[in-house]
Amino acid sequence: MVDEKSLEELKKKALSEIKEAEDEKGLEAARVKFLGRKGELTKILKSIAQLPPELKPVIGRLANQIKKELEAALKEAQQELKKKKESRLPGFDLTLPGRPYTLGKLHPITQVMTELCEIFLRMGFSIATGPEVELDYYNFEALNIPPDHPARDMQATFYLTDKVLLRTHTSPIQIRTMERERPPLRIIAPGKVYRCDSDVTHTPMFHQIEGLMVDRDVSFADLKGILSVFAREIFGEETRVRFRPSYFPFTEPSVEMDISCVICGGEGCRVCGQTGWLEILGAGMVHPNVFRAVGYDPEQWVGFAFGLGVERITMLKFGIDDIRLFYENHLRFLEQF
Amino acid sequence: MLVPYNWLREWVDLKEGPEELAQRLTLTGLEVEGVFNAYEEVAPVTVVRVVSVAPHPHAEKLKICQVSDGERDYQVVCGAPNVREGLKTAFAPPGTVLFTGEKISEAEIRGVRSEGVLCSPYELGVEARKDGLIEFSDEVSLGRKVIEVLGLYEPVLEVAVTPNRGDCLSIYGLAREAAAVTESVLRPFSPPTLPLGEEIFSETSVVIEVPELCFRYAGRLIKGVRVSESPFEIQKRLWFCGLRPINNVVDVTNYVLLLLGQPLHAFDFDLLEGRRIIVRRARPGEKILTLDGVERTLDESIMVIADASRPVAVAGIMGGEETAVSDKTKNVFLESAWFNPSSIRRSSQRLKLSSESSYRFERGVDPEGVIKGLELAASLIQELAGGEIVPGRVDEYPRPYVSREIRLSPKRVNLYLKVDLPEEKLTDLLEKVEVKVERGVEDLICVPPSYRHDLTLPEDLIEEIARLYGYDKLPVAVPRAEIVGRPPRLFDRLLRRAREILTALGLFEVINYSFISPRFVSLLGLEDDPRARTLSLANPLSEEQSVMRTTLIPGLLQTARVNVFREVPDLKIFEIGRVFWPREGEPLPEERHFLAGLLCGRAHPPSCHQRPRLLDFYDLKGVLESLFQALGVRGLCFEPGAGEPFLLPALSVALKAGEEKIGFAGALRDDVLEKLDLTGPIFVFELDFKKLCHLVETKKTYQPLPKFPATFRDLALVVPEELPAGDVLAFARKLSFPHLEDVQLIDVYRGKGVPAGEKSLTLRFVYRAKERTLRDEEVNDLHQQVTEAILSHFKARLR
Repeated sequence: MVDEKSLEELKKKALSEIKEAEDEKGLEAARVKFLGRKGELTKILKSIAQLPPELKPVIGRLANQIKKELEAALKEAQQELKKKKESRLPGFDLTLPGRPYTLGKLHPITQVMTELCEIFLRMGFSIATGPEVELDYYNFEALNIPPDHPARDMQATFYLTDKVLLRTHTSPIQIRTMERERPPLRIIAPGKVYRCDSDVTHTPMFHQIEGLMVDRDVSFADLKGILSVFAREIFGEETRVRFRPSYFPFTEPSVEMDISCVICGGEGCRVCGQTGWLEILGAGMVHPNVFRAVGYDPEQWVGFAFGLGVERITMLKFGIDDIRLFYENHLRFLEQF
Repeated sequence: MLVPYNWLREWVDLKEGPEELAQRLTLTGLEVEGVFNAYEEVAPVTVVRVVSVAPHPHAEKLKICQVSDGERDYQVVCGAPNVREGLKTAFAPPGTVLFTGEKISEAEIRGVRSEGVLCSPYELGVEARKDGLIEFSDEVSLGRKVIEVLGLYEPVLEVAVTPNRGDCLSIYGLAREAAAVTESVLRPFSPPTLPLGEEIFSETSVVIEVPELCFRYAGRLIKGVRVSESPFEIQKRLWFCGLRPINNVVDVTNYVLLLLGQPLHAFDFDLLEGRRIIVRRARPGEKILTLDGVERTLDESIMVIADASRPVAVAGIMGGEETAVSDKTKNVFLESAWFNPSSIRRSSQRLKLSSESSYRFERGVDPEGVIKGLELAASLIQELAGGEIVPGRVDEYPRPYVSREIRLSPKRVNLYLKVDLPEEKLTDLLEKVEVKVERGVEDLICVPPSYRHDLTLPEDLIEEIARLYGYDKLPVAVPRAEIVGRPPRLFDRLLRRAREILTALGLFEVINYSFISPRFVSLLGLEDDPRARTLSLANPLSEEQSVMRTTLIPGLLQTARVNVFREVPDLKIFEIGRVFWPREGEPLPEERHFLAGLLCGRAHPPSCHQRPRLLDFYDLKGVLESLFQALGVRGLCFEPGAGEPFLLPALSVALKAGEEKIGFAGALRDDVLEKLDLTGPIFVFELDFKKLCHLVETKKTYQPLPKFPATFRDLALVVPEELPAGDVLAFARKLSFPHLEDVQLIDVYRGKGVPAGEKSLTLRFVYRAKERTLRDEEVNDLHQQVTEAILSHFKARLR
């Protein structure tokens, strides 16, 4: 005889079996056992008709309510199982490293050179090039460095013949460009240069970027302006610059630009030799003799030029302490940048 | 140049200390590289106690001492009379350089090991005494640095004088500069008054045969000198400046050179044949033994100072040994001259000989300072070495100095510097550096002092004004963008693109030196190749870097060695750079941009997902195909057999644009690998990047996307092993059947079902009509025709 108590017990049993089902199959078994065509609850529902009339509504309501509850529990259990299944796939271990897709990298010098050039390109400069094996004339003479000039000592030169050498700076490109084009001009000339020197701070080959601007009313103030902007772009807004008089035969006045030390911020450290300043480039107003050599009238045109060492800037940016590493090309070095 | 601060201060009343002065000089154009203690050289010397003294078995005057610095003991052989047990004295370990110039190293002294030296006060540069060891009182603790104990400090500025400022290569010159850039007063220098007259001309004569090389030659005669050691104070000054004392006469010439910048030379007058001086060019083949002990052969490009029969000095560079002042010298002829700077430089370069004198002559000495230097030196020699100055002086001055006038427009100064300085201010600044300024009609008429050879143009004066005014006070502006930069050239864009593509394909960029070892020719077997014709450096740093590369391959192989030998056996690298090909009849070579690469080792880094495999030819080809495809290269083919002596013919291809070979790719031969101590396979490629650029199709035209589906049919055919698959594929692609859109090679098979000596190729054909969906029967029919065409052309059969 069905009574309320046995119904409650049935419900309890069914709910616990649903809960304990470990997979779809177990769940289906539980459904069939209680709600299937011959299921325990189904049987009761079918037998309600035979109950005495006073019990019918009570038992009937209760049985139907239990049916709904079980169906809801089944549905919920099904979703739980599905969730559980999706969260873990056999054979997959998400902690394994990924399949390698290796990228190569550009040489650090190329990276920095590109960055430097882009700064000047944004300021309206164009790229110019010239030969690496150069005539003495372009490398020295046209730059106001005659054959017996002591300034030749400033640049230890590789010679091929008396008149042919490996360019010691990118400055000959100034001459070649001015010979070819009329002012106004704004060019930069990146490239390899060579000097007979080899130690921790010198390699016999290195890279420079030359800059040249010629116009009717360029002044020393523009030189300071362009180079200050450049220094802040490459080393950060907080960088301070200072300009010192210097000497290059092809500029007058000549100047050297220092930046506040990127390591210590100007406090003084080993890298800046306790001075708080780092020498970063040489520049100056184009010497009238250089204009004369290319047939520009120094009374009409004014210009400034600058040259900077890419290795030095790269070393400062990355804290590299031995310039020779650039040309050993060890992968453990190259992959760091 | 080394500048002792205290010496400098004798000539200018500086308020600035050494560091402040250094800063000021640096900011006004003379870079001071550092301020250091002149006694730094003897800094390693420490206080020790003599623990024991034993006789030397083979030398009566020497003793074997055990000394202790409190930490450890040293054995020192010493001959000083005051050495005794318990003495506290100074010990110089190996590496120390003493005041005498002696560099200490461990030595065997008459068969006994000596680990250093015990020092006299003289050897430490403390005082003149050299007859015994320095003695310290008992309170001084062991192991302390002697320079600290004695407070030995002499600040010296190391000034990097630029080549244009020869006038600053002296104490007085720097004092003058310091006075100009600080608010200090220079003490004027006036030479001593010495007897004039004609007597000297009865003793000697000077003839200048080459007035174009020797602008001025002056001399004095000092008779009856006693050559000995200089006073300690003079020796110390020379030492502070990095020179070594020699004797009182020579030291005076060096002292005056340091003080005034005027090079001088002292001859032993009695050794001058004919007792006269001739300034002339050397005769071809003439020889001279210079003071550095080297016999030098001269030629006509070199100016010499000669006596009646032979050169006695290389003019302006170095004196001769045979007429040098020695202990025996009684009479001294003192030379003070002004030589043509270019001539001195040429001779110096020719002889590969330079000196304190030539360094100054090259940079220009003061023509008006010749007599000042002479008079000061003559009087100092008399003071230190005794003797009599013969009345009168020689002064041959064929080309007297003429002062220059420079016209400076104040307007131009202000435009150039973007300032608005009144004329008075400009005059004031220029007068600080002793430029005489007079007001002209529009311009300032400026006359620079005789020692400032670098001031010849208005721009030079503008620089003086700018630096004295202060570079940092000058205004800053940003130029108007009147002209706009041009976009990068196509070539530069492609270069950059190629770099991006290659790194995306996993290759690292390397940069190698442009000069390589000439051995690459035999290494690569290029003896009969045009690339064996290289440009050689006349002065290479080493044989390894002595010829300009004609190919990038040797550099890449060097990089491979560096990496493989240092634990990086897997490499994918490329380089883009210039190679240098000599041109007949042209001074400059042709510089070509080449792109080259090298692949070796494993295809992937070790991974749990992939089985390791070595890189092979198809990796190399794949990299190149991807590169060409991404760059938009058209019409480049891979032709089997590169024809390169260092590549395996069977595993290499030539890269050809029509008939022209623009590069190669393939595996290195075993014998090449063996010479490099590397194991293969190693794959390389190289191509002429400029030529590759000519093949780039930059124009791209849109193709509409297909509206109707494609149908695929595979064809597996059996062909002889020797038939290249590429031929079959190329033939299939060239077939012109309607609706045949594409052909791919999807499988190459050898093995079961295919007889030995043959292989099976599977081609996949894609059929599509533009305007409708193709029916199956239609495709079957087409495919049948395609199949027959291929089978009959290659006499192949279906698998």
